[in-house]
Amino acid sequence: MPNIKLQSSDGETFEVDVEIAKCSVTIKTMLEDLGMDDEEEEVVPLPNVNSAILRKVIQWATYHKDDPPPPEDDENKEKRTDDISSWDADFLKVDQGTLFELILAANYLDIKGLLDVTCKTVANMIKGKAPEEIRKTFNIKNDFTASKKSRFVEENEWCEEK
Amino acid sequence: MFQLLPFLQSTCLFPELPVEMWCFILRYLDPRSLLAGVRVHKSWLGVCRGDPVLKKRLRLALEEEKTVRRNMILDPRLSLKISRELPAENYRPNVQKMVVKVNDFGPFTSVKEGLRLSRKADERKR
Repeated sequence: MPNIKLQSSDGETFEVDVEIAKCSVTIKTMLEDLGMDDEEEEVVPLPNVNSAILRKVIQWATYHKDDPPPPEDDENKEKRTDDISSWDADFLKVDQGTLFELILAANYLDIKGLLDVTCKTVANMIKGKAPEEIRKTFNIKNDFTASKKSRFVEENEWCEEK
Repeated sequence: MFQLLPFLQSTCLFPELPVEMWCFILRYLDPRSLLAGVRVHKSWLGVCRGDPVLKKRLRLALEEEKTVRRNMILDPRLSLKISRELPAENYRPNVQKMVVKVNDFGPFTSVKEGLRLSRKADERKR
């Protein structure tokens, strides 16, 4: 199996199996467009991903390399969030900053499976909670300075406009 | 970017994630959680307004909430049930009243549906 070198934003280089790197649609498209020569020792720079995150992404991709491609989703249907596998749940037991960076990296590298599972994790943090609890979870200040009444008026007004 | 354009920061909830990512995340929520989420921060309301799917879902949640509140006002029987522990006797003071919250059929039922369900539950008890 040929290998490919990925360089993170802080200059660290990772050598990865091409099949694993092809989890990322961005890298896959790039390799298809540019063509791959076995002799050439090209390094792929990934300026939006730092080494800690890239290591995690590669770890995820290595574990999930044999997965079937995720099915196309129907955007009108409410999606499930409780179907995260236990490995993924363990993998995503990280702090919020890392989690958000993983989402950004998955979006940039276009890895649908990883994006799905990270977004589900964040959605689970929001699900079934009262606004005050959500604020506490994400450490947000309340920016609704207007009174409660005008807030509801605003929401409902918008609802009626269609 | 946010250092150069500080006014942008106020329009974005967490600078870590762009709007389209929040949109993706919020699509995983059920209408009720979405409504709670929108009440957390203005920018999420902005995200929901910009997305037709979320907009529709949010409107649904608001309507549901309105129905629930209306039902609670119109028919308190749906949420509360008052009964006496012992069969009522004349001239007997201080019979303990029991107030039981009836929530077996969930809060999102119409008045008609709720009445039907409560009648059914009464019949079953007998």
